[in-house]
Amino acid sequence: MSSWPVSRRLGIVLLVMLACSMLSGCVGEQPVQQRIEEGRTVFLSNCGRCHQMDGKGFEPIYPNLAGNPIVTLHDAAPAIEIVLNGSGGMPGFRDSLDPEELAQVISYIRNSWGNNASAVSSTETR
Amino acid sequence: MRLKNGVAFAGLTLLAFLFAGCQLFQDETEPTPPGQQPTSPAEVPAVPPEVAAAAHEWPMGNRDYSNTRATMDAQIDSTNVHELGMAWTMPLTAASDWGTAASTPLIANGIVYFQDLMTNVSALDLETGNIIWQQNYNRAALGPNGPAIGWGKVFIQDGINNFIALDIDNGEELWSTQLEPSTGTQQPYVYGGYVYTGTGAGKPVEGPEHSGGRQSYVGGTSGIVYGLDQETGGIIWNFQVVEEGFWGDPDTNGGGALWYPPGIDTDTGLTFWGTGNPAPFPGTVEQPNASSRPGPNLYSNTMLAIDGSTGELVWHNQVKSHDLFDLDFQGSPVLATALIDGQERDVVMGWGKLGIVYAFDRQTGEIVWQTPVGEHQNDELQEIPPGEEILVIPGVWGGVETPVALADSVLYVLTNNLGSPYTATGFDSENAAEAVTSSEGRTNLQDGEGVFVAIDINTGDILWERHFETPAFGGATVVNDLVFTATLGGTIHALSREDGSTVWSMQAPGGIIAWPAVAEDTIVWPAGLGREPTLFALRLGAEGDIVPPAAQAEPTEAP
Repeated sequence: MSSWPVSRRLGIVLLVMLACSMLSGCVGEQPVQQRIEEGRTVFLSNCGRCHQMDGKGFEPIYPNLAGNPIVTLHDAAPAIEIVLNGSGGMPGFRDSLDPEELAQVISYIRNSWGNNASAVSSTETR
Repeated sequence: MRLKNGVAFAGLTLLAFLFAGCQLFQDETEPTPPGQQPTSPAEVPAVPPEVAAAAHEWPMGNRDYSNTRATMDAQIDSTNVHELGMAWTMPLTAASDWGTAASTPLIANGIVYFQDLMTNVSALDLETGNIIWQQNYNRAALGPNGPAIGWGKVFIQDGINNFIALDIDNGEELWSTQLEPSTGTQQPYVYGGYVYTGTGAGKPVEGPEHSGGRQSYVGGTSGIVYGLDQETGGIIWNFQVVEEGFWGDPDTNGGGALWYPPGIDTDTGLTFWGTGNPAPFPGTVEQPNASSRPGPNLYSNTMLAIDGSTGELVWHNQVKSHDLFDLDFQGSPVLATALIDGQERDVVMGWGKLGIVYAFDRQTGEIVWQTPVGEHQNDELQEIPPGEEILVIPGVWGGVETPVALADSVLYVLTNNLGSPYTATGFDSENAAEAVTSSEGRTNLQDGEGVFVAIDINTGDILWERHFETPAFGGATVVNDLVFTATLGGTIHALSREDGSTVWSMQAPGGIIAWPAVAEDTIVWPAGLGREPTLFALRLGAEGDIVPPAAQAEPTEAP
């Protein structure tokens, strides 16, 4: 049984939350590696049949994502824009995936098949 | 597995009846579903005036009630096909799961009627491509979809669960009827005051803007065949494909979707429907190897003969019992009179992803012949050993996916040698929808090849085959002495009906999983995949540039 006053316990909880927030970059955000790994499942269910599990797609209709310069740009904004709103014959996924799933799958695409770019967070995909 | 002689054919037919679970039944009666009172539509010309007046054009999805997809009225043939040029194009912008287009447009009285994969409908001037009217719903549909016309209306499914009639003159909505369980996956046909349509097995996805889409194969959802009153949209009759009780587990099982227009025998009023697979396939973690659905799983993978006036099931023949691998029998039935052993016989031919073409006696449902097309591997398995991963050919996109054509007693069939990997649990899937995407995502398009096959409908014998280097979903469309098809990447081939050699080819603006309409000197074809999806019109003598294909596959020898 704790003998600490309520105000002191509350303060400790807030400190822990602040530390977690600083470490992960955002309250509630998954660690980067876990986000990428879970992105594989999202990719399999939503992207794999066109872009294929090796990311090579089926040119010219389903673009190759492996080494794709748009996918691996330092600025993730163009990739996020395409996944959220679609492009050409590709549908947008803004309505069918939530921001966390969108962050997972875009992070996965940017870090698979030899791609090595920064992960994205769910704050960027809202 | 190809049949090369009559003995093998006869033997396989017998074996199919004895062992493969073919179930032929004459059905005495089918009870009217609760709450539905049989009525009749108001009297109208059986063939809609718009359709009759456009019989020389392309007034129905597969051109006619027999689903021939063949025209001898157009001016295009092998002597002038090289004169085709691009007459007009219309950019397509509304994309769903399978791009922007997966259907056949209609051409009637100089107007093109087209539906995209967001349910939006356009009427365009065939000559210029100018838009006459558009009705935009922006409801994502899985497809294949597409319009029907008749009695002053354009009939469509939306991408949720609604069936809609539009005013043919201006596109204004006239009525809308809610169907079960989900729509956006079939092009309707109309005849005798009825609208005939079928639904998919899945649950509409609910979103804040009701934007459409669906979750496939939700437990307790079945494809349902409907006969609607064309004037009011009222449901006159319906027929649920999956048996009542959902094979013992309504929380898990479903299927029996309707994917393509029916065949209609205008002499007898019978409508013919090919039905889709049962689900889950092959299974889930909790219920591997389809253990949730013991038995034949009627009426999945079945040819149904349904009275078009009453909805009564007259006969059925299930060609794939207890299907483990998404091997649908989904195609539009093709009606013809064949010369079987020297005797004329009315037949109805069915086809599907199972990669076998069947001819049935149209009156009794008896199998007259069956012809496997393309490669087959592991597709007869009834159980996958625990822990093993196997490759099944045809896979989820293999077999005969897209519409066939019939001319001069030859059936033209496009199939795909494209396998999919499976495990007993659907790669540890928790439900049927997850099992679908598990196999789709693991299907390697680079490994696939399209195979175009010509079959003599009097014998079931294969006359010739033509192989393509890539998968192909462009169906078959006969135009005089040519038959058109297209590869997934958008290479269009005009093949010689004699031997399958390419007479002429071109590169479309986008990838193709849709089928053309042809009238006079013009072909209208949607290319709905890729960076620049486009609806385009090819016309004899048109001046727009034609892009040549990057490479052409060489034809193979006839078997």
